[in-house]
Amino acid sequence: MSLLHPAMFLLLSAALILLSLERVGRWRGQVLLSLSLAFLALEYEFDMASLGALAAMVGVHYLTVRCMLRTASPSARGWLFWLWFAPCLGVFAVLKHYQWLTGDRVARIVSPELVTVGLSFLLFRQIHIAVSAMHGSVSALPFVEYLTYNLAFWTFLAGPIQRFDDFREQFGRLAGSASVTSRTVIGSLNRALLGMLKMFVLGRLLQRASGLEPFLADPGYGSLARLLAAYPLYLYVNFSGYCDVMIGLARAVGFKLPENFSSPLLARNPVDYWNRFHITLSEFFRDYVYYPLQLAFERRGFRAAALPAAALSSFALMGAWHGNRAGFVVFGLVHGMGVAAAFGWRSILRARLGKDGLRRYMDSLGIRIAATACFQLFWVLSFLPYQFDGEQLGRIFATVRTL
Amino acid sequence: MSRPEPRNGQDRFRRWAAVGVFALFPWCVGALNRALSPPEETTEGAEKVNLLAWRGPVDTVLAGDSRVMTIRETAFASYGWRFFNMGLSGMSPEDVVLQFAYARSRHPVRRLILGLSFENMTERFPYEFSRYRKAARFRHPAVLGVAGWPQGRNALKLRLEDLYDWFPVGRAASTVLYLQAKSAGQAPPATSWLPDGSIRYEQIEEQIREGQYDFAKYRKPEIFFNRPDFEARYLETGSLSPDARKLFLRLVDQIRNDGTTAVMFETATTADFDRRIEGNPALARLRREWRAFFRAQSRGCVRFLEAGEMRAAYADADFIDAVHYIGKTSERVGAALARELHELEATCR
Repeated sequence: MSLLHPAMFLLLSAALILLSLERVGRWRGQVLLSLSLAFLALEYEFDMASLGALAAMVGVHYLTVRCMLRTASPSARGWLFWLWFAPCLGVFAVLKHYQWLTGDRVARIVSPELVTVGLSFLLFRQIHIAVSAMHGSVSALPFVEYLTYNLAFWTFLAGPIQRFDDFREQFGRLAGSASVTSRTVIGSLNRALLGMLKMFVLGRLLQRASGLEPFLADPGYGSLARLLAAYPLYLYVNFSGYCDVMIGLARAVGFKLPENFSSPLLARNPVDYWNRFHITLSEFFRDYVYYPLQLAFERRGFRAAALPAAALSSFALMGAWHGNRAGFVVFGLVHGMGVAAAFGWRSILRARLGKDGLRRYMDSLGIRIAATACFQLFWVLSFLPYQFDGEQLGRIFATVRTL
Repeated sequence: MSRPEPRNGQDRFRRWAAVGVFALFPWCVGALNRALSPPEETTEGAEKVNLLAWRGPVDTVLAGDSRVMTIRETAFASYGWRFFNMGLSGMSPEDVVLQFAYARSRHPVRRLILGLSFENMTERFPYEFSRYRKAARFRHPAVLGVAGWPQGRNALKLRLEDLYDWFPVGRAASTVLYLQAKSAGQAPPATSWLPDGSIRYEQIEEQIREGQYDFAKYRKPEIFFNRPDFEARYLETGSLSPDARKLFLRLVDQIRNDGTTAVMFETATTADFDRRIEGNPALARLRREWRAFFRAQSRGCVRFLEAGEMRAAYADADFIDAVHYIGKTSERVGAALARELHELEATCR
């Protein structure tokens, strides 16, 4: 069920009112969990297959992490981690229905939309807790906190991906009934309402403007620009609007969620972009895929290839996580190459200009404007394989040739 | 995180005022929508529902999938009937039945024409392949008795859908488009639908006029003959959908009880497409079974016409692909159906 559904908005309003009541006091955590369970029932439209898959994912992970916490030996914890992670990844691939991996041999079990949002983000939170438990940085796993961390309605669907220790701190404050000033409530709800306008008005207008048909019906440079720009802009406006709604709602009741966007349209290269766009996802991949891979390559003596290989692998994985078509992997690879090229270019500049020269280069307004413009072109082009399949891309290129 | 601060009446009032504004926001959007009456959504299903509302009292309804969408009101109007074409592309049997039920719940419908396609009777009930689950109001509780919609969680889902009437949060974009068009002095976005619910394929007609339409390319039977919801399903199950059978039996019962006059007709295809079905013994047997099923319902004020019985109305040159036709064929099919309906109405009681 979409957030546009009135039942969802009713639930958000009810959550805001209930969690703002002073009488709820120290039960706020339990109220948040109950509201989140109601949210899931609505989100999954009471579909038992989807809710069952979700319960199984949460139950198996909880038991595994509990076992890890009771195990003193780091190697045994490592084994437990892989015993959970390998099959979990397999199940996730089946649920996600990767056609380039399985073809049509595997039937859909739950609706793809429910995996794209929801289970995909749940997997991140679970990996984070499991890795933390493996490294011994999680010492306790209170059940209500664990469940709320995984299922809280304001982060369940599409993040932001909060770290567990940060969540526990905020959860403690929520249950501690910390006062929220009227100024904070007004500012936060203003942000949530603006987020709704971004999602429901601007986002939907951009969504209507996107797609192949307007370009094929009236080929021209204007419609080509619209074809390229409308969809990436729609994704940004829709997703950042969603984050504004959830971050605003949470802050209005005294719960701080991490920021997920920081003016990505001003990015000057792919590295800068991923520090501004879907920040919590980038940080997750940086910490759990990119750094370990880079370190592994370097330890094996591939120092020169470590950075590009780690970037390509991380972004290919990130692309695959975004959707089940091969085009998503291509999108990831393109950004991986972009990141590797940006790092390479920076190294060349530093070697040629020196540290001070590089700083002057980076601070130059003209360079900044030119770099941002070039990157925006790269950005919209990179979304072509994300948005269209091979046959559609063929039609686009054939039509572009006639312009 | 905000600092705890002493509560006073003014602070508490401001906090709750902010919460109130947030909670009332969607109702304000809803009220604005209702006051302005902008188009709700731009999906085909919703457009059809809106068109039907603007059409005025309708007494003759044509329900079916995309293969009937080009049939116009002309022949029906000549008998003094108020006609509306409810056809939509990709309709499953359940959708088709609900189309009719929906029209009947809003209009004094006395006559029904039902376009039927053998290829579309593989679906399992309910709504397995429906493209219109969320697009239009065919699923409104008032019409679900006909389809035998299961109760329980589905009924709850339907009640949740009803909230859109009170609480149209997501329609703000429609309102903006509507205001934009209104301030620019434009009519709402044009659709391809004509006021009688039929459709014009303007681009295709223009391409045909200019000799640019690639008939060979679009008439390949494979385009409609390789869908997983058609022959693969038939060959897998080896039978017509039992649930769709039950659904049609229930519909026919209801038509008889209501005293509605109905002509059900098999939509024709190109000779190539037909040969493709006949060339497969299993499909040929199933199609005979399919025709026999509808023929068995053909008595009293309900008549079934096989494609062969209306073959004279179809010209091969009017098929824009293996199953869809335009031009004179649409006119002749419409005229033949109106004639059948008129004769049936005169003789069946």
